[in-house]
Amino acid sequence: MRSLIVGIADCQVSNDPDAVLVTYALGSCIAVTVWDPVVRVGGMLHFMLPDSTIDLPQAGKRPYMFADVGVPLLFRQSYEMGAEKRRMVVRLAGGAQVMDDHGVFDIGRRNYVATRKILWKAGVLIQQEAVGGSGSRTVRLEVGTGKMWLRGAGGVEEEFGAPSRGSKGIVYGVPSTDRG
Amino acid sequence: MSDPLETQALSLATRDVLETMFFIEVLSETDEPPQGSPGTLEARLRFAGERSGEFRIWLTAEAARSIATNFLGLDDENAIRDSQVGEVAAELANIICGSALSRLSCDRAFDLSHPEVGPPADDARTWSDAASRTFDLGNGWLTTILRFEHA
Amino acid sequence: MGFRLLIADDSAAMRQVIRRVIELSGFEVDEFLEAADGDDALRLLRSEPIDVILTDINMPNINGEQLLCSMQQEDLLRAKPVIVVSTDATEHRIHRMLALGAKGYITKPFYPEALRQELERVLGVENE
Repeated sequence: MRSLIVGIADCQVSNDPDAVLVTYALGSCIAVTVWDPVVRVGGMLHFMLPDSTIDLPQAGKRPYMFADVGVPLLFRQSYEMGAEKRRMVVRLAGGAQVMDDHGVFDIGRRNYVATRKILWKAGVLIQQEAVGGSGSRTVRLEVGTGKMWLRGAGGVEEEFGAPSRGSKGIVYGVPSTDRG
Repeated sequence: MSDPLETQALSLATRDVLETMFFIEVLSETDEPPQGSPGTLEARLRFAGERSGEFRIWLTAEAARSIATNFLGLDDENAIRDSQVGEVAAELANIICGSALSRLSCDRAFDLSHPEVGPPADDARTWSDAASRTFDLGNGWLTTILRFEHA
Repeated sequence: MGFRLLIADDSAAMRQVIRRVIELSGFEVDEFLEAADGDDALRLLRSEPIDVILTDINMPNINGEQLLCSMQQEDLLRAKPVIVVSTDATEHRIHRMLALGAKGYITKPFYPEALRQELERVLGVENE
């Protein structure tokens, strides 16, 4: 397995079946990962801030710093390797509530809302996510298999999206459909 | 004087709804509604259940348009019809009201009337007993007003 | 072969959003039908083949609860799966709708994945 490190304000896309995309120390930042199971193309973006219009010169120099510029670039680069939007498995990690350099407490949540907006407008649904909370996360995506691994602040690595309570809006405890 | 629990429920419901389905961040919130500005929309509905009353939102024009664009998943604010902006404002009122009432009333179900949309009626400014919060959305304002009728 | 789905909600905007979520989820839908109130929904249920219903509760004329009641009383409608999509998150309402036969319940505001997951669960399908 070959590790491709995705740094802060960085993006990597690969079609190498031996490659593993990995990014560390996701606090308020968000990692957006994509994986096309047919052509086995995987991509990972690690962005810091939601909106590039606050600092356009910076957005020009470091496009992956911002969700609104970085996410479309991630998708475009994946398409260039043969990935197709309708097949792509999209996952999110990060967006924790941490005090960043500016003392802004809610940047994680703002990053998350911005990501959801961009994906909704792009017509992409999220397959799995590990967001919020207050700890730092490390994630890795195996390009060959599409498996994704998450390590939280506790240090234990587990496979992403192990059966969870699901998504906001579902009322639980509803009896299953009887299927004869 | 409004009930602090009602005001809190209103605030939490509004923020939650705006973020979840309309992708809007609240920059700050206050008690005081802003002075009217041209093109402001009002959506109003009545509710009944354990308690009955009225709910209204006032939404300034530019904010209404971006909210509608976000909700529908569109990119271009100019491509959206005025009627769609009104429909989305009505649904925003519906969801915020329902969310606030659900937080306040764990027990009895409630019924909501179909929201009506139009220019703001100023009578709500005189309601001293309503829970009211105004939210700065960056490109405009949203005011939410929840008023329970007394038995 | 796909399925035929009815969306009952008095908000045209919400019907549009629900439809978009379902299309983006990759479900094979042969036809989307829409109703703006329970009256309209019942009329469509009695005249069109429909496989699954997504319904709001607060609607003019006949509301979602009355719609479910009516469905329970008709042999041909009773077994059709219904998922409620409503802003009413009170326990009272949820229990009532489930007792009336609803197979799923989603509260507004919701994430699109919630709708996809509930539809997958109720239909017993898994979208890749």
